[in-house]
Amino acid sequence: MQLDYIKKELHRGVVTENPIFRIVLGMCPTLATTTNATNALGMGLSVIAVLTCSNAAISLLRNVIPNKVRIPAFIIVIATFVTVVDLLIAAFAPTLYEALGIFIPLIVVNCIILGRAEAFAAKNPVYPSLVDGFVMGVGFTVSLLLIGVIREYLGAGTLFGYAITPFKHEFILMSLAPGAFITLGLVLAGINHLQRSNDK
Amino acid sequence: MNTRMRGHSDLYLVMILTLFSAVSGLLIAVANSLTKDRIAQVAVEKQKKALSEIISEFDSSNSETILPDPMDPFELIVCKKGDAVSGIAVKLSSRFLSPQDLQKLALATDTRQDQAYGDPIKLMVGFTPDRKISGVSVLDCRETPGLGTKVNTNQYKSNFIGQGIETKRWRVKKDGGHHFLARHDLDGRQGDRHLQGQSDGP
Repeated sequence: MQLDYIKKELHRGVVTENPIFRIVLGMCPTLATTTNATNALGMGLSVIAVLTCSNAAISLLRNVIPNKVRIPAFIIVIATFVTVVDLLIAAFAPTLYEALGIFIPLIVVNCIILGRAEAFAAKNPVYPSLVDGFVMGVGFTVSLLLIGVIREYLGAGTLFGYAITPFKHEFILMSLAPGAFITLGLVLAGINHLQRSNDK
Repeated sequence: MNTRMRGHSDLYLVMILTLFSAVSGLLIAVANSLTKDRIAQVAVEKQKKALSEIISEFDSSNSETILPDPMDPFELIVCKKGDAVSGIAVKLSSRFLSPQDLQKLALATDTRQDQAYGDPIKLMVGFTPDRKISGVSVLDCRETPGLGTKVNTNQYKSNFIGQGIETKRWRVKKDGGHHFLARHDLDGRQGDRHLQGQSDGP
């Protein structure tokens, strides 16, 4: 029963309501941190941690937070978790900390986090909010990882830093900003095409 | 009736936000106390690595950190091999550099140093005993894409190697770049490419 619920929610977060490919939120970190698979995974895991914790905390406090100041209160909660995650990454994953740079603190203004707080956590009990934060975070991570894998493979010929083809190839454009837009556009087009084919 | 539906006085709203901020501060303080030692250790390791990158040959156990004044925004690290000085590293932070600070370092007379976009940019610049730059290493840089991130590329940093510190001006051109070091013209847009060193005096 519980497993079915989690599976259904995961399907919602990764496929039907995927925050990147279906709702098209959080474009800034999607474009900026997917230069390679490692950075994409690091950013995704950071967002899972922040989104799960902030959704649970906001849900827990939803009856205490007055409606008039709910947005600043949500931002305080989100910023707290982002700062804690930022400190933990700085201490225990310094290479990732350097690679992600300013984009870890910028998770505070990621519309997915505030969006889920406002649309779900502020109206639902703790457990469903926690699950919602987790599955939306997983959907975000899977999307970032997909774009990161494509860009790293085409841009540097590697995956997670390891060469996977016997010949060396580099297509530097894919590692730069235009590569992010091109990859995201093509993946979105592919997903929309698949969606339409399924609907027919 | 749900609390959110009732009207609240301004004082109550202020108290709620104050309480949230206080709890937030407490949680961050706990996280900071748990991670600060490890973060300091990471910074020391990064500095050791930076020193080995910018000073060619020195005995790591024979380097000496000089703090001319505890309030000064920079550190000088004298690196020695045997008794001879093999290089001097200067650690700089963009947050605290005023024109006066830069004058003390003989780096500039007319530059404005603003805070960086994220945390301050921290650099370590190595000098040879004959006052030439032997290397530049970025200790901390959390910028959005642009010149701010290009300062960390080898292509950009290599522009400075071999340059003297007294005869030229470094400056970032006004096309979107940050004010950076001083005494050479650096193209902000093509930050990693151009170093137009005019000899226009100290």
